[in-house]
Amino acid sequence: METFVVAMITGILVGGIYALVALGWVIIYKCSGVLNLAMGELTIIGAYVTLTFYTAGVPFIPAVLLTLVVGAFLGYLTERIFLDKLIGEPILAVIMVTVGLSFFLKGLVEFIWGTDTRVFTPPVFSIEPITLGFLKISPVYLWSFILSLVLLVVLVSFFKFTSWGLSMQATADDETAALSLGVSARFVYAASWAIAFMSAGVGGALLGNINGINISVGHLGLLVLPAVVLGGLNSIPGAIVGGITIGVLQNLAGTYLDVYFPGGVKEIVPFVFMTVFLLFKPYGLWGWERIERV
Amino acid sequence: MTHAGKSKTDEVLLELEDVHMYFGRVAALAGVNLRVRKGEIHSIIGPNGAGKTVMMNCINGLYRPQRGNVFFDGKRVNGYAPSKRARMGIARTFQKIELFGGMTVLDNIRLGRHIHMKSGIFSGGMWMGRARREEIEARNFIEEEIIDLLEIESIRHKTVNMLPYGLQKRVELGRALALQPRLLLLDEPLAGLNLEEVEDMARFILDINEEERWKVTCILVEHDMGVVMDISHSVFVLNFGHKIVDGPPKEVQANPEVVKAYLGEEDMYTTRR
Amino acid sequence: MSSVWLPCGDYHQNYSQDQGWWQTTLIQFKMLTLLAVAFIGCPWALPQDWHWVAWVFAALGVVLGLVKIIADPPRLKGEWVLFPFILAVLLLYRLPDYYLSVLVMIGYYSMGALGVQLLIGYTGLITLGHAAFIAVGAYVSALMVLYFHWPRFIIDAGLAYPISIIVAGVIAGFWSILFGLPSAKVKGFYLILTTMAAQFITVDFILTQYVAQIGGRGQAFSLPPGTIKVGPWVIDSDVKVYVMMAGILTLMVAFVANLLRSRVGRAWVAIRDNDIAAETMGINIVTYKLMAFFVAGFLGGVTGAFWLSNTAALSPEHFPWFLSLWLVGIILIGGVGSIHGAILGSLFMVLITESLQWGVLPLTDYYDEIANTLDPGRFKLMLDWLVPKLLMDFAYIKEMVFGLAICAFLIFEPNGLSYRWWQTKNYFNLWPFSY
Ligand SMILES: Nc1ncnc2c1ncn2[C@@H]1O[C@H](COP(=O)(O)OP(=O)(O)OP(=O)(O)O)[C@@H](O)[C@H]1O
Ligand SMILES: [Mg+2]
Repeated sequence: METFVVAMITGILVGGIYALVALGWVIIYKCSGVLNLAMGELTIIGAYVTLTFYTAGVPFIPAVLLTLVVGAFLGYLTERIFLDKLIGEPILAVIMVTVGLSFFLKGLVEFIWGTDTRVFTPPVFSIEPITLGFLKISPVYLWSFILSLVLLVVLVSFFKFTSWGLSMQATADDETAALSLGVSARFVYAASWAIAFMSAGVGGALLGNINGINISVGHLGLLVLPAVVLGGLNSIPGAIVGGITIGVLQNLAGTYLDVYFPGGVKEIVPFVFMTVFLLFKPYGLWGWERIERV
Repeated sequence: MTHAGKSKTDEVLLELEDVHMYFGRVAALAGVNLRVRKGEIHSIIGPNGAGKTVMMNCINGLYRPQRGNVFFDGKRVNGYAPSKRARMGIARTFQKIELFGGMTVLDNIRLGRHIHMKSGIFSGGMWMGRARREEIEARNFIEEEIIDLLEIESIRHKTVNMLPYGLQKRVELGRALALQPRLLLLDEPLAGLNLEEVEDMARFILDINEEERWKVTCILVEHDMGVVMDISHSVFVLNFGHKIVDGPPKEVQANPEVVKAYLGEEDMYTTRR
Repeated sequence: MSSVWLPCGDYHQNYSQDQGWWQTTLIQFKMLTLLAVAFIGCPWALPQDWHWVAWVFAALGVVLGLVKIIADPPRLKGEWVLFPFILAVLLLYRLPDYYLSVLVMIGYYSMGALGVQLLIGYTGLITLGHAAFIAVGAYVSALMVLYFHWPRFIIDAGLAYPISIIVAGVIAGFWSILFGLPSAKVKGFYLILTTMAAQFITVDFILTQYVAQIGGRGQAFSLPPGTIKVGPWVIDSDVKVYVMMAGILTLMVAFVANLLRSRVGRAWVAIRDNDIAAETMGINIVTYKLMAFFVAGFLGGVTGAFWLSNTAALSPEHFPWFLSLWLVGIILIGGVGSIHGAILGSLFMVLITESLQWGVLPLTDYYDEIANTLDPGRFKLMLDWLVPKLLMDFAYIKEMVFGLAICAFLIFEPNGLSYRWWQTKNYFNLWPFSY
C-alpha cells in the first residue's frame, strides 16, 4: 500500500512537469496546426540554458526566468525561419520539418554541450526528503511540481482571461475572423512557438534537476506525445490530465513491472499504452467518430 | 419516351427495408423502402439535401444505417464493407468526382479490374506467369470493352487531373464499368456537363443498361428531369428522408404532390452542377 | 510504363509490348550499361595478364562499327556498337575500396529507404519506425547464423546466411504487421505515433534489454570471421560486401518496381490517393495496408540481414530512432513516391556527409599548421576549441546538416531530387524540341 501511494504521488508530481511540456505541444497545435516532433529538443535546450546560467552563478529562479526569455526568443526565431513557409502544406511535410528541426537542434546541443550527464552543482534543492506522515518525498519532486503548477496556472489564465490569449485561440478557430479582429495570424503562430518553447524549456530545467541533464531528457520530452494523444490533440485540460496520467502510469510501471521486465519498462510503458489505447479508442478519450462525406 | 418492359424483369436485385440514417439528431433517411428489379434503370430524384447521396452510400456500404436492412440479390448485406459489396457486384460513381487524380486514365480503369484479378505480392513482385497474363488480359478487356464503348481512346495515357470535367465523369463511369457490376449506382452523372456531353452520357447509360454485353441494372440520381423521365423505368421521389412516390415515370409526373414540389420549377434543374 | 517516349513512327503491336520492361533499344542499352557498371565496372578489374580480354571486346566493337558503317543491317542499332567499348573500359578499371565502402553505405540506405518509400510514398502510411524492422532482420539473421544448429551440409554449402536473410525478412514482415494493425483504425498523426512506438518498444526495449543479452557477451554480438558466408565465398572484403549489396539492391528494386505495376501496387497507390474510392473499387483497405506493412517490413528485414555482412559486431545502437528518421529524410530529399527517389536521396545524403568529412580533415590539418602564427587572444582560443572539435564531434555536425537539408528541401524543393531528375531526362528525351 505504501509503495503504491508513493508511486502514485511521485507519478503525479512528475506528471505535472510532463503536463507543462504537453501544454506547450498543444498550444502549437491549437494555434498553428503544426504537429511538433521537436518537443524533446526544446526540452533539452531549456535544461541546458538554465544549467548554463546556473553554473555562471545566477540563482535558480532567476535562471529559470532567463530561460523563459531565451526560450521565447528562440521559439519566435524557429517559427520564423523554419515553419513560416509551410503553412497549409500536407501533414508529412510539416511534421518532417519539425523532425529536421529536431535533428538540427539535437546536433547543435550535442556539439555545444557534449553528451556527458551534467548535474546542477551545487544542487538546487536539498536532498533531505520531506516527511509527510509515512511518506517520504524528495523536495526536487515537490518543488518541481509546485513550479510547474504555477506556470500551468499562469499559461491557462493567459489563454482564458487575457485578450491576447483569447485572440490567439480565435485565430485557431477561424483565421479570417481573427484577421478582421486585427489579430495577425503570423504573429500568433510565432507567439505560440515562443510560449511552447518557454514551457518546454522550464519543463526541461525541472526534469534536469531530477536525474541530471543529458540527451535522454529529450526522450522524456517525447513522452508528451502519449500524453497529448490521451488528452486529445487540441485540448488544454486534456494535456494536463494526459501529462499527469502518463507520469502516474510510468511510476506505477516502474514500481510493479520492473520485477518482471527488468530494464527500461518505465520509458516504454507510455508508448505501449498509447498503441493499445489507439487500437481501442482511435479518436482519443473525448473524440468521436466522424463519418467522411463523399 | 419510356421503354418500360423492354429489358427489366420482375426479379428483385436490391431492396432497402425501412432504412434510417441519422447524423447526430439530423435524420437524413427516415424509413426508406426501395425495390430495384433486375435490368431496370431506377432513378432517385428530390431536392438538394433530400438524402439521395446518403441513400447511395447506404446501398454501397460507405454508411451503415442505424436501422433497417439492405438486401442485395436476396442476401442481407448490412454488415458488409464497401469492398465486399463491390466484389458482390455493386459499383458506383460519385457526385463530386473521386478519381485517382495523379494516375492515368488507363490506370484508373485498371483499378476497376482489381476484383477480377488475383495476383498477390509474390507473383506480382516476380512478374511471373499469372501476374503478367492477368495484366495483359485486363488491358485487352479495358481496350476492347470500355475504352471503345466510352470513346476515350485519345486520352488513355493522360493524367486524370489534367482532363476537363466532362471527360473525368466519363472516366469515372469507365472505372465503375470495369468492375463488370450487376448494379451500378450513378450519383448525378450529368451534373456539370454541357448539352452534347449530356447526350453522350445518357446514351452510354442506355447502352450499359440495354446491350446484351452489359445488361447492368442502374440506380440513377439526377436533377435533369428531361433525361430522368426519358430513360428510367421507375422513379423514386425522395424528400427530406421520406419517400413521396415510387413508380413509372408517367405515374410520377402525374402525382400532384410531385408536380407541386418539383416539376413546376423545371428550370431549377437544368443548369445545376 | 506508358510514359516512355517512343521514337517517331514506332508503335507497339500488342499490349504485352506496351508493358515490357524495356520498350526501346535505347532503354535496354541504358539498363544493361547501368548493370554492367554496377556489377563489373565498380568491383572488378582484370588482372594484368588478362587485359587482352578487354582488347578483344574493343576489337569486337570495331568490327561491329565497321559492319554498321558498311552494311548497316537494320537489326544492329548504334547502341550495340558502343556496348563492347563500354565493357572493355569497365573491365580494365575498378573503384578503390574506399569508394566501394561509400557505395555500400549508399546501397544500405537505399534498401532501407525503399521500404519507407513503399509505405510513405506509395501507400500514404507515414512511418517513423522503420529502423525497428531493419533491426529485427539483423538480429534474426545474426541469431540464426550464430546459434541455430544447421545441418553440416548447409554450412558447407554456405547456405546458412542466405537462408537467414529470407527468414529475417519474413519475421520482420510479421513484426511490422503487428505495429501496422492500428492503421486499420487510425490515420495520419496517430499512425505516426504507433510507428514511433514500434521503434522504442522493439529497439530500445526488447532488443537492447533482452535479445542483445543472449549469449551473455554484453551489448554487442560479435560475428567471428567466416560466419558470414554465401555459397563458397566468405564475405570479408569491401568488394564482396559491395557485390552483395549490388545484388540485393537490384533484386529489391526489380521486385518493388514489378509490384508497383501489378495489382497489389496499384491498389496501394489507390489507397494513398483516395481511400474511399479505393474501397468502393473492391479493395479491402485494411488487408492492403497490412500487406504494405508486410512488404516494407520484409524489405527492412532483408536490409538488416545484409547489414551483418558489413559489420563485425552487431549492436542495437546501429538502429537508433535517428536511422528511422534519416530514412524518411532520404525519401523526402530524393522525392516521395518514386523508386529513384530512394536511391537519389541516399546518394545525396551520403555524398554530402562524406564530402563534409573531406572538407573538415584538411581544414584541421591546415589549422594545425597555421595555429602558431596566429595572434594569441580570445579569437584564437575559440578556434583552438572549435577546430579540433569539428573533427571529434563530426557525428553531431552530420546530424545538424541532415536536419537543415531536410528543412531546406521541404521548403525550397518539395518535389525532391527525382523530380529534377525526371525534368532533366525529359529535357534530353525531347531535345531539341523541349515543348
Ligand atoms: N457524413 C455526413 N455527416 C453529417 N451529415 C451528413 C453527412 N452526409 C450527409 N449528411 C446530411 O444528410 C442530408 C442529406 O444529404 P445528401 O448529400 O444525401 O443530399 P442529396 O439529396 O444528395 O443532395 P444534393 O442534390 O445536393 O446532392 C444533408 O442534410 C446532409 O447535411
Ligand atoms: Mg447528393
